[in-house]
Amino acid sequence: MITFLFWNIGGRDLTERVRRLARTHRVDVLILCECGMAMEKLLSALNSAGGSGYLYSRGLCQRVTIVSRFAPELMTPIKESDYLTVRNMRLPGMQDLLLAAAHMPSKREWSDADQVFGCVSLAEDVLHAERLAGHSRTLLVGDLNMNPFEDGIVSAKGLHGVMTQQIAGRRSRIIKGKKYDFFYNPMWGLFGDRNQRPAGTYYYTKSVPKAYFWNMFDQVMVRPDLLERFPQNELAILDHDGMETLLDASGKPDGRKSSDHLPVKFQLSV
Amino acid sequence: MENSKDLWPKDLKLIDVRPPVAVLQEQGAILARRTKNLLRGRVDQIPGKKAFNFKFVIEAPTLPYEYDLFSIHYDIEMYPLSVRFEPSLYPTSPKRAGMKELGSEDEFTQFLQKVFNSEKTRKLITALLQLLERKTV
Repeated sequence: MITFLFWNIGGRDLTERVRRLARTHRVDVLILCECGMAMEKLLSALNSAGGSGYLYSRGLCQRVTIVSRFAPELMTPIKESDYLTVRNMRLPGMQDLLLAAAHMPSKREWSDADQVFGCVSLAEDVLHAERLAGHSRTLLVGDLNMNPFEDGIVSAKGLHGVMTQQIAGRRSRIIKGKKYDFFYNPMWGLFGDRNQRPAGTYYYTKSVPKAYFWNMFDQVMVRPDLLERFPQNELAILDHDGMETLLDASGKPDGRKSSDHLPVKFQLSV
Repeated sequence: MENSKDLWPKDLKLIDVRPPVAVLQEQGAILARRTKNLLRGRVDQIPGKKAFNFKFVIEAPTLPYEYDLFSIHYDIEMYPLSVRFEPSLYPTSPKRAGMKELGSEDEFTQFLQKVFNSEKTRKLITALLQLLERKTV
């Protein structure tokens, strides 16, 4: 299994918490948004007693940072922008994978329409990277700053993320003669508090009639080609770093001591 | 028809302004020429709120690798033109970080010159050329 962990750490120095998370969950690929930590310090912490082999997987996308146990040459960037990095993962003994990691502009920076156009662009970029790589064994992960039910995520021209493996297993659908590939978006299954887990990855509300309170801005999606290798029960929103909670006393992400986003962990079988 | 009165302006010639996309395509071709086709500047149409929306992509086709440098958005009048870019490419006020309105082709070409000469773009081009050199050794 390859273990991935995604976390928007909000520009804070959360070295110790990241180290604990990496250690506790034996993370192989760590994907951070708004990483304000010095890389040397982070690597030194990750590779301290008990942890080893983490390397900086260099890329030019400033909004996403990747640290991995895999050598950087096994995770080469093929398509990047200021909000996206797509890595072609060529791991020994495995079919190549594409890891697309994104940090889309927030709802403060972009209007609803901007976010939809942004998702259409993101979908086109991922598709383009798949053409460059010659396959569509793609994982898309990131802080998309949109919920799984919003237009840009759901729409066929956007990311086309659907809520069941069965639908995604049809691979694509045709609308007015044009084929649109699916993503499976397993984050739908993590909404709400039924399993004594956080009801989303980000909590936000203000005094307006429509408020979701919990949002699922941090998401992972998989292309149909990876469905069989994506164990659903290994997908989790984490509320604990192995030693301390990531939540405040009211059960929301602790933006003072940690990040206002919660990390997402997932695995892929080899 | 011969008796019809021509109500149109005497001078129907277009104003002497190149479409911004043509300016970008020209710069993309110059990059290809300067790097002996190792790198190219590609212009892709993208979705957006204006009538015309394009992004400028620096690509190294043989690696393969590409980086989306910035995007431009304009209506039929062409100017003012909106540009969106990562803040490190071009200094703006924090409130307008990553976006700018340009009123003329002159302002646009000045913007391009600054972006192409920014530390980020120079680093990107140098890194790609080094990778390509190592690949051919």
